[in-house]
Amino acid sequence: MQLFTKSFKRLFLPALVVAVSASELAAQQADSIQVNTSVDKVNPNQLRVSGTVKDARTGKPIPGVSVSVSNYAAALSDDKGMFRISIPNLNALVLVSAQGYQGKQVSLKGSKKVEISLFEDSYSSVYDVAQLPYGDKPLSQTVFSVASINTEGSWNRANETADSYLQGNVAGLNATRRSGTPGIGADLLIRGYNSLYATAQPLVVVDGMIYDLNTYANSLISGHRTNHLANVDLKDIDNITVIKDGTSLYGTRGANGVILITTGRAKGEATRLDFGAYGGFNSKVENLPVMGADKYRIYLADLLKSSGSSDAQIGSMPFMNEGSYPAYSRTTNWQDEVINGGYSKNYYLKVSGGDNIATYALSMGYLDNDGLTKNTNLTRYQTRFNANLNLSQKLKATANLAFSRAEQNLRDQGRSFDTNPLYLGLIKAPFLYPYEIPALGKVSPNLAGVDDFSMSNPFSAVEKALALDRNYRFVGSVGFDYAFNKKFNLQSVVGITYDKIRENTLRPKLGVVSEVLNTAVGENKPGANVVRYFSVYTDTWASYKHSFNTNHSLKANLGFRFNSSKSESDYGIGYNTASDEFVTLGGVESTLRIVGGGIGQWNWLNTYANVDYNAYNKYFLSFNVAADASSRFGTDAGSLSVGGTNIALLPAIGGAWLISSENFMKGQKAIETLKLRASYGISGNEDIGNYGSKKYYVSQGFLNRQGLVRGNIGNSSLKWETVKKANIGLDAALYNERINLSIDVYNTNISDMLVYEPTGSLSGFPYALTNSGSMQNTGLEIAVNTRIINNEKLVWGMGFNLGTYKNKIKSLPAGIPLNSYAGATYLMREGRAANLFYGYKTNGVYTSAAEANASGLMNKLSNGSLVPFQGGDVRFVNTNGDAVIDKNDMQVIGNPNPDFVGGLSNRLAYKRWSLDALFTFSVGNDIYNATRASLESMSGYENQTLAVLNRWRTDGQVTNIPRAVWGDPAENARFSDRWIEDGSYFKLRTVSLSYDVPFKAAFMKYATVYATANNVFTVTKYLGYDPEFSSQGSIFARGVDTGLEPIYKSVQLGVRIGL
Amino acid sequence: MINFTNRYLVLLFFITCTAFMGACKKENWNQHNELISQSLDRNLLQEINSNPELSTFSEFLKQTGYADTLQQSKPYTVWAPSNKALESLDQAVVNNPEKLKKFVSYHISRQSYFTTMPQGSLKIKTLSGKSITFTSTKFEEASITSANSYVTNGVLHVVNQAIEPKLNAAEYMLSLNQASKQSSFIQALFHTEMDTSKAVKLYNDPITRKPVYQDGTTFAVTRNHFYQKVSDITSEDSLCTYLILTDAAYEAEKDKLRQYYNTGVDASTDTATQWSIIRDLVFSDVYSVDDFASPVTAISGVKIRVNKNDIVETRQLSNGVAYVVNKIDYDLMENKIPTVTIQGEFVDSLRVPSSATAKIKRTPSGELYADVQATSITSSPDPLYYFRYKTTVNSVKYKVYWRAINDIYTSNINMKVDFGLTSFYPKAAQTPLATTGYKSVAPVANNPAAYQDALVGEYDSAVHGTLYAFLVSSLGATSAAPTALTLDYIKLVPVN
Repeated sequence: MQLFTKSFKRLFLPALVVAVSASELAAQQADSIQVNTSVDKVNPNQLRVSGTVKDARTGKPIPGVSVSVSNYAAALSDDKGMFRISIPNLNALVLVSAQGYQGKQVSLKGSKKVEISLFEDSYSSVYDVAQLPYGDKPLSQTVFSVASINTEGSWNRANETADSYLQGNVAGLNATRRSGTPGIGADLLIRGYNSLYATAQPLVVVDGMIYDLNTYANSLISGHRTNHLANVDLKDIDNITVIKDGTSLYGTRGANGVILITTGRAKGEATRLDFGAYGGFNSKVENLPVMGADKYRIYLADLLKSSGSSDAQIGSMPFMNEGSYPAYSRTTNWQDEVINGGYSKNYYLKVSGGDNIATYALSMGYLDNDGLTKNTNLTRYQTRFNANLNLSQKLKATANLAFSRAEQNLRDQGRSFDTNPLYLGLIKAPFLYPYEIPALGKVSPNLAGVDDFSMSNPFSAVEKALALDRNYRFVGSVGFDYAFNKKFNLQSVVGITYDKIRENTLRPKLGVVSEVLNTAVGENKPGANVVRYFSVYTDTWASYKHSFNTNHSLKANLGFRFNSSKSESDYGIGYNTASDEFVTLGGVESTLRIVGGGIGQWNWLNTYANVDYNAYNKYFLSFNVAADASSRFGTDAGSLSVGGTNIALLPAIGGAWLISSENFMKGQKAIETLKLRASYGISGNEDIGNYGSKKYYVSQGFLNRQGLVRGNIGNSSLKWETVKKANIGLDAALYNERINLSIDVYNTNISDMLVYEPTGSLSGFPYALTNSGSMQNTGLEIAVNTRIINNEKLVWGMGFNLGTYKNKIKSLPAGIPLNSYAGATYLMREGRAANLFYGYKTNGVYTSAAEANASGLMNKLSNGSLVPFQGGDVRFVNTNGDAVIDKNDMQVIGNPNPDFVGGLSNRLAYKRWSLDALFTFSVGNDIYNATRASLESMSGYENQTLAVLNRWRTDGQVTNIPRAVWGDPAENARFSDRWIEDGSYFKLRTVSLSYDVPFKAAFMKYATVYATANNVFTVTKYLGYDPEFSSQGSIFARGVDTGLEPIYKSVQLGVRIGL
Repeated sequence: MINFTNRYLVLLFFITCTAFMGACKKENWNQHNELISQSLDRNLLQEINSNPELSTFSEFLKQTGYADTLQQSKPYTVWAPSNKALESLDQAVVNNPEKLKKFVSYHISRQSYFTTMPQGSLKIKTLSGKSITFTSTKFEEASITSANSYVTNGVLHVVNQAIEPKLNAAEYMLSLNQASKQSSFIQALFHTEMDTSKAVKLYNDPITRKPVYQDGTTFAVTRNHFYQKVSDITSEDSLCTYLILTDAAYEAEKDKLRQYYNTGVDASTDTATQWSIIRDLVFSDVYSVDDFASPVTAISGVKIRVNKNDIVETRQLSNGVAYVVNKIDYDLMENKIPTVTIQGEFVDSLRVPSSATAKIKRTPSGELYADVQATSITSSPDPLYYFRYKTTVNSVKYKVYWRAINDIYTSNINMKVDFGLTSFYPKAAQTPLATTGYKSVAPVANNPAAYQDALVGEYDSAVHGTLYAFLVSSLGATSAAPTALTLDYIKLVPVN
């Protein structure tokens, strides 16, 4: 460490000098160019570099390594790992590549002798190649903050989707898995929330085509979202590159960062066959400790007593006389009745190969994964065909076709209190039983109906309910690349996306509480929903590259993208079919049928240009600019208008200085690579709604007549959100790449931020959409990748990344009300984070009536009445000293945003064994535990946690649980810090062990056996199933645990065979 | 060497992982759910057994079987008398299992009752079926020495006195020797009837028109008219004040009231008189001696006074309080002997040429009233047109008032009230009934006095019992001079 500090100091001084006297430097450069060119001309063979290539692990020389200098010379290492190669000048980069080893771009640092050590190809280092939109680029040369992951298929993580896979792998990318439902994926946030009401999810581009992740209608299935990214099998993915800033090339769709996914293509002409088969077990989650029948019965009697029932009435209740009523005498663990462990199966086959004209890669996959809730599972089939064609010397073509179909059995989750089996399993009276029990005491095979407490039968909610999601997506594209000459290329990609989600649901009559409608009682409720999405996408660009001399090179692209999308959703729900077996919408009572839906159509045109300039392989400069037009922009949006179309002009500029290639770094053996980056860019967010800038009408019924009424206030100046990103970063590789380091500091300013601005009541609308907010995110990211033990037999690598940011609202229109979601209230105020939990602080429970009286406080209830506090009421903190506890006493009680998130990965390799362990963590985020709030509110028949045994009973009792009173008249269970918990966690996310089976057989290239365990343990203080969840992508749902299916432990055994 | 160390590193890694796995979540919940009071881990029986001061009561619990009850998962409140308190318990109770059971169950109630709950006092029904009075410091007369020990299935209070179950009003009356007359009259009101509340009706008998029930669904039950019609003083669910007259006082009352309940038959006169005595002795709440200094309204509606000095004995009951008195005092007329009001719209029978109409109307001052009218009477047949009403009167002289509103004609309407003991209205040739004679009702226009009630005569009732009152139309009605019948009410005010 000392060494590092020292070298850093040495480094810093020259950097300063450079910055101050830039002109002087330029002169020096000009000199050196002249000198070098003249040498070349006189005797091209004179300038030579010699070196050795060694294996970083064994220290042994590697023969047959291909060594080259771009457009100049090439050589191979001999059996001692030695090579000699001519170079144009000492600024040249020597490119090294060998089968099974990492590629490397070696900077000579003014020396004519180099020693190169190579790690294996999976080693993540500064020489990794980021697969950027217009060509690959080594990370050592990028000017923007970019992370690249060579997933290599990640065969050991078969059941993951690409979004959940990213968790803990990229600094500053916070992936929060939505729930434990198979394939549900993760919400991705790159550098925090950059928008309040528009999307905060990054743009995903798969094989050059924008991959739309939005869902264009709410699911009929409570708590469910279709994850489109699950349609891309992780095993098909070769590389994921995350661009965190400088995304101006993607114009108004790049504000939240861009994730580029590259799927696998044939690696050679030889036919290769990869087969994978996995089987696994999903375990149940640990039950939450709710009361058993005996404790619940006592609690219930106390509660009924508080409701005013007489002793005789309570005493005559069937559950108080369980001897005479066998149906009320059970001890059912309802959680066990609704959740179970399950199995997962996953098969995958990939064939690749071809000839010198065409290569192809065809893959097929099948996945079957059971869910945590009984009777739920996910089945997916998918296939992908990628082809490369050399049509002529100058014309190349690519084709990508992918189709996947998924069928998922689900159940309601979250805040569907009558149909969510998981919730019902917690609150259902434990002395009841899933089946009817007649007076004689024998268990009947009929499911029990709704109970005396108007609570659904949880077992019925898993057995009789239907919630089926069937979806498919087809993505197909063809690309052409025509090379006019060595400098000019014209390329184009044209593709379509077709996506369809079809949902069928049934809320059964048997055992589920009926819905009370305006004109009828809805006993059962079938529903159907179809959501279609279709888009055409083209990207056409001309590229130019030129090296002015050996020291200067320029790459430029100019192109346009056009994206035309259409979405449509149609749903129908109805009530009261003849029976629960008859679930079609045609069978419902016609007067109770509700149909609806939505359509959308929008176009986006993005014209872009970029220039990359590289001088001496040390100085890098990039300039990007995009001019965007979108059908979503208002007619008065923006200052720049071309032919009546409003244009968003979004430039970005970045520069990098590869300090380590400077001659003065020659002596710094410890520092292999050191790069300083700085960038500033403007991008936008066009997710402002298709029709928000226009006036529209919606249909409305009135006195039996159908008519149209205004649906909004059209805001003709509605425009994109502008996101300005400034970033300074440092990339370093130290001690022969044993330590790789990347640090970024950024500042994101969001202006023209979309808000729902309150309007005067005269307008007839409560809100209007305007671009009148602004926000700031400042943050820091660190990614470290080390090789701690590195020898022939044993390798231990450790990676660590961490991201932290502070969010601050800078300006808002006046009068923005509090946001609420699932009982939580969020505060949005200037100068603070955008979504702070805002509620009451508490300070224990009044131990006696005398103490409550002495406080002199009155309790203002939600109905406006003022009542005095009583013994056993929660002591809410009075902030304004006005002797009344009311909404003026609300204060910030928590922050759902984490202080920092990150991951810690370990890789141990020993002979043919390797062990990968990924830990993820999130620190400092608060969670509103809405599930616990209803499990400890003590207001109704719901079963409660064991903590309510400590409820206040009588004067002098010191406890933190208030009195149990029917209906909670004192509103002790209101949104307060009683329900706010620390959601920090440290999780062993994945651990996998793999073994390369030694094979001598000629037909088989390799075989690997995997054993993987997911979510092995979570260290947390959180009192819920799991602190990781995301009930909605919105910033105003963050940190609210509504009771989704929790993430569970699972193990998989798998084998991969290569033929 | 390095490899060796590495191997241990790997091992260490795995051990740490496994250690974490078990620890986390359960520990959080255990901490969250930790019982603040250790007593919440015990049930009532364990709590009682753990208190050496309650060993005798614990022994009683075991003997009576209530030990099992107190272990159940249902909330109970126990007021356990300390060993010292139980020393003074009557041995007759201790040695009689039946009585002991009654005694023990008298100290246990369902639900948790804390001393913070009574606002004043609470009446709580114990497992014995008897109610007790619980205040913030007392269990009946006993003081609570240790209060509010809450455990998993309820709460325990320790009391310093053994309280034997109290009698209820009925039981107390039966136990009294000095009030045997009141008691024996009430005893005589027991009778057997069929309980049809759970009956399954099959059909109505075509001949008798009475319902026929399925066998085994009706039950013969013994009931008492007094409990049914006046007040169920055996009930432990409500509180009452009960006056019990000494035999002398009872006789004095009988003598005083007999003249007003004269039915003409001695036996029924006696019964009616006695019923009138007992009817007015139950009050639906607990009243103190001082409360009776001014009149207190009995359940029957009669106001009764009791002089403090006339109270022979006061007894706290499980369902209230009883006073044995040797004299009660009350206003006789318009109280004990009630004013009889006959509402015009409740016609028993009528004879009019066209239909009568009952309407709800409003006086000019805004007061609502309902009356009945038969208009356009254009003849005076024999017998005359009338409205008939049926009522019960005492054997006493009444002043007769009516309120009849003539909003029909601008001329007077003449009507009279006749009284008969049968429902038959005689013809002119037959024996006429007692009558008030014709009185005219002035038209209402500009005449506020027309809304007042008016004295129309007197009626001296010779017997106690049913009386028919007839509102009779005028003589000599013609189509040129039609008449009508109109009545809001007739009031019979008893006078001496």
